[in-house]
Amino acid sequence: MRRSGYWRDVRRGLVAMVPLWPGVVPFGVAFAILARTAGFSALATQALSIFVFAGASQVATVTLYASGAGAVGIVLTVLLLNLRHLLYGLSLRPWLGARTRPPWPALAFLLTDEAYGVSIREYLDGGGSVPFFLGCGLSLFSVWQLATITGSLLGSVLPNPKGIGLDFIFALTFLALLVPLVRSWRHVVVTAVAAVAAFVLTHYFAGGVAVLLTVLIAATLGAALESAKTGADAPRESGGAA
Amino acid sequence: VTQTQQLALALAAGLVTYVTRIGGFLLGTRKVPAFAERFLKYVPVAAFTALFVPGAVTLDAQMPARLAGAAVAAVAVLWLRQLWAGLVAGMAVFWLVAVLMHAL
Repeated sequence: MRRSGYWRDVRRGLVAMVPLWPGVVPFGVAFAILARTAGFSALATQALSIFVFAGASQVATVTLYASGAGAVGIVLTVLLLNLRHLLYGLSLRPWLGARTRPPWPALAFLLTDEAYGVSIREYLDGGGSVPFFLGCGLSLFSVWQLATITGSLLGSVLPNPKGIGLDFIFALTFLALLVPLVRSWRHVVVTAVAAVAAFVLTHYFAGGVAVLLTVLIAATLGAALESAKTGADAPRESGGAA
Repeated sequence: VTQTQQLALALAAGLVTYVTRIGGFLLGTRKVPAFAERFLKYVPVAAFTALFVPGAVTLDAQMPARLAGAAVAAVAVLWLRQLWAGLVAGMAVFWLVAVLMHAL
């Protein structure tokens, strides 16, 4: 039954992602315009969308590149931004089964916030399957490539970006990603500390290194604050908040 | 030469991203330490702030326009729940204020 329904499940996955397209397409277009603004060729812009396939870290890559950051700092920033995938993989792995078609190392390539979110919900609702996840992943991947091509074409007809302050879109993009995530007072504290740290550190370090150090400081603080809260009724962990 | 560097950068960034994607699958059913899990939860907030600040707090003639644009963009995103709404509103206000202040 599963076997005969393989392609039907792939199609269900493809369709399940359609409601997310309106949120994804403008981001992909914006990324490609930013990349072209930052001096990336259309080919390199597309390569980022194909190989990285993760919006925020692609924007981070071109932002840092434009600010003259070194390759090591950029790649480490991308690594930090994508570490959350580890949690998705851990959470999804038991559902997939021991053997998958295609093999799970190939499936891993399609693991994104969106595909994880929709697939795990489907598994919890009883309708999840490997082909469903595959459909989700392929749906997002194809739309992401099309959005990137569209943005590349738009980006190449725009006038001298720096002269009209178009570089401000970089900052606005990250602000727009940040705002919906600030949901508790701990997030506010982490954001405030990160803002001060980033402001100070960018005067002493290249962009990529400043981002890395800021994340290490601010995310550790956030984790410590949360440990202090949960630690009230559990044995105290080392590394207090104060 | 520039394009080759950019392609190499894309490949390297893609490689580390793939490692994070397959890493969770490889770890299988093992449990992540609680502190590490909490740290990961705060990485996006910290990173997005760090990537936003240098482009807004520029300490130049454009800074008032940038901060005004950022404030309006934040409200637009909270209100409409759409990334593009923040970009459009933020750029519009930024350009308006920058032109009025002769900072563009």
